[in-house]
Parts: sequence; structure tokens; C-alpha cells
Amino acid sequence: MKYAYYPGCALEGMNIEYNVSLRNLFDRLEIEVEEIPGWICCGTLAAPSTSRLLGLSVPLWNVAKALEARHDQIIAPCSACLYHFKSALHELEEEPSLVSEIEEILGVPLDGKPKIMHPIELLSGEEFETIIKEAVVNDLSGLKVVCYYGCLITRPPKVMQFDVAEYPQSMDRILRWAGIQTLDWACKTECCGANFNLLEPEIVIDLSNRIFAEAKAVGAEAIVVACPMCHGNLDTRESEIEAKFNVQYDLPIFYFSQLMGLAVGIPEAGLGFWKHVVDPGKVLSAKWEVEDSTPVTLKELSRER
Amino acid sequence: MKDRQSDSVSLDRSSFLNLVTGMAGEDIQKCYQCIKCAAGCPIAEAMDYLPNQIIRMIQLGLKEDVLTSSTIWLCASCETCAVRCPMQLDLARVMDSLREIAIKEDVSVPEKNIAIFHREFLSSVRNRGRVHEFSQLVGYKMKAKELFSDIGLGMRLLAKGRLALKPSRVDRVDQVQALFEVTEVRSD
Repeated sequence: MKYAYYPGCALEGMNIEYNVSLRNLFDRLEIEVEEIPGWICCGTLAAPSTSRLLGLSVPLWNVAKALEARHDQIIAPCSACLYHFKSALHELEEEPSLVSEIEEILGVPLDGKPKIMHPIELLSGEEFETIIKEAVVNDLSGLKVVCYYGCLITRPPKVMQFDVAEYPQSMDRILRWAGIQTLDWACKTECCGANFNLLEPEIVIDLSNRIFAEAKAVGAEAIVVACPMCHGNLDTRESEIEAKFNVQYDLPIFYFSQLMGLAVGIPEAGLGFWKHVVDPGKVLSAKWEVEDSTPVTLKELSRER
Repeated sequence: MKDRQSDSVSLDRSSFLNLVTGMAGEDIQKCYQCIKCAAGCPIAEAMDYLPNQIIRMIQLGLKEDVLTSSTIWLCASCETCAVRCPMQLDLARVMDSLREIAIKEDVSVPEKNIAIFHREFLSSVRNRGRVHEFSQLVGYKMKAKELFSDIGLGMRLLAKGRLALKPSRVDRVDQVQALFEVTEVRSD
């Protein structure tokens, strides 16, 4: 089974380490993916804020491309892209009269009902429990983390239809399968400020501070995320948050794919830790044994396109 | 018997309510002001009107106050309200529609930078098919006249190679531009 893969703009730019670590993890777990040919931006919040039709047509253009390439399962690792795809399909379902108009705009039929998934949805399927457990070669059980799901992986439930909207467990489950300790905490799905990092940094700083404070209070050594926006907000603003609130958090922010990748023995070059603003070195100071393999490096992945 | 003035007020009231209801596909009349949306909204503190107040204002036909509010731009679309609303209203979708109407009617937007950001973002998509973060960032900072804020952070990201200088572009940009043009014509 081959899945269509929609990286999205952030994963080929600012957040390329998410892309690389995830692709390496997929390789290691023998999950085959194929990038949607000629994919374009999902339009994010800007498109539906400008016109409803644009907000539907831009994400559905990519869905049409995936269908054209005979895929019916699409993996979208960015929560915002994921939401915009699922939301557009949901709107067509609610208002079937829109389908023909969108098809006219796209110039192709939207035949079929593809399933759009976050990689966590795929990996938390029962069949992966044994696969992940058997792939583990590095013992990370000494590391205590909290899973930060953010807003859009589960919300709104009528659109996303995945896990429990305000108390999800799926990321905790897959990290535990990889031998990583995840702690319970109250900020799993609190908003970090979403796309306001540049626009309203004070909002991001205040909201993210609550997330850091709670993570620290429960004894976490790192925060694990599954969305490039969450990573961007927490990782780039941590030092300003510490300065504003006169606290010292020292919490590195990892993607789930980076820690799971480390557990299954992907060398650090294929995980991109050094791209982070908050140095994860202190937490990862122990030397992990790594298998001899040739991962896709950041440069190779950029060239691939 | 109603007088003429109150008739025209009620007509206006329902026309705005119907417009937003139709565009958002959300039955705004269902809201009975339980205020759970505002209680759970992470941005409420920064807003001029609370989310439930915006909904009530739409019901009352207070079009101008709604369209010139900062709330409709500060909503982060986190969808917390949509989870908690007992009537299953998706307020984030309502906010999308309100921003669309505000842009179309060219009202004075209190959160100009957010509107500029959206515009710069879409022009990047239109010209390349994808967003090139570096040029979009510089474009936004120049138009918002904020070129020097966050410069330290920008330098750190550049040093880490996280701001790709070379833009990525899809092969068939002409198709993307055509998509934008068609939706523009049809949205008018």
C-alpha cells in the first residue's frame, strides 16, 4: 500500500527537519509514500478569509491531483494543511451542490472520497504496535516528555473525526510503543497562538508560556509536537518567554518523528536536531547507539525535488 | 401595526444574518448565549467583542460593528469553541465569512497587519504555487512597516538555514494563476 504524501510549504522550508525525520521514520517502518505531483499550498487561513470558493478550491486542487495519481489515502503532517483538506471535503459533503462548481473551477472531476490522515493517525493504528516495538534499537526510557497535540489534529470533531477532541491519546500511545515515557498534563490541546507568531507575538508569548509552565510543572524534560506551527511558536519564542516571565524552562521541542526516529536507530543526521533554536543537546547528551545506515539528509531531500 | 422604520430595521437585520448564515453554512440563529465559546477562547482577552457577542450582533443585524471589530481578525481558528458549543456551531467558519465580507466591502480593518499578511501570503501562492517564507516575510514586514522587528530571530533562523533563500515553484504556475482568476470572478 502506497500513501500519497502532502508535505506542505512549511515542511519544505522552515520545518524541513520534520519532513526529513518523518520520511526517514516511514522508510524504517517500511511505509511507502509518494509526494503528490505538483502540489500547491493549502491556502491556510488566508484563502478562506478571502473567499469561500478560493478556500475550497486551493486545498481540493491537491486532493484532485492525488486522485488523478490513483491515491485514496493522503498523509498530511502539518495540522493546518490537514484541517483545510478535511474541512473542504466536509463542506462539500454538507453542501453537495458545491461539488459541480468546484469541479468546474478545477477543471477535473473529484471522483472518490479520499481519506486524509495525520501521520499520527496512521501510526497509532493497532497494526503498528508490533512493528514499532520491534523496530526500537535505542533505549529512550530515561526521557520524560509531554505530548502537545495543538488545536487542529482533533478539532473540530465533526470535521476531523479522530481521537478525543480535548484529551487525545494517540501520540502518547505511539511514543510509548517506541519506549518513550509520556506524562499526563493539562495542556495537550491548548492553543499556542497558531499563525500569530509574526503578527501578534505577545499573544503567542502569553499562550505558549502557559504550555511551558504546565510542562515544567509535571516534570517534563521536553515537549513533543506534531505540527510545524506549534513547533515554530514554542521553539522560536522560548527565550523571549523566559525573559518576559523571568523563568528558566530549558525545554527542547521535538517532533514525534524525531524522537521515534532516534528510538528506531536513525542517525542524527537524518533527524535534523541542529535546526532547532532551543538546543536539545542537554537532553540528548547521552550517547545513543546508532545503526550504520544511509538516511536521507536535509540537503538530499531538498535536492530531490 | 409596525411602523415603516422598524420594518426596514428588521429587513436589514435578517439580510446580514442570512448572508452570513448562507456563506458560513452555520445556523447562527441557534445560539442562545451560553457563553462557553468566550469562556474557552484563548484569545478572548485581546478581542474587542467576545465571540458570543459577535454572534449576538449578527443576530441583531449590527453589520458595521461586526465587520469593523478586531475580533474577526484575532480569531486564531483554534476551534476550541466548535468543540464546546452545545449547538455545534463552528464559529471559526463564521469568522472566515465575516473576514471575506469585510474585505469585499472594503471596510476599515482595525487589524491591518493581519489583513496585509493574508494578502502577501496569497500573492506568494498565486505567483509560485507555494509559499516562499523568506520573500513573504520580507514582503509582509515592509508593507506593515515593521522591517526591524524580530530581526534577531530572523538572523538566527537564517544562520540555521531554516529560511530557504531560493524559492520553490511548481511547474504549472499558469494553472494556479488561472485557479485564482476563476475563483475571483465567481466570488464577485
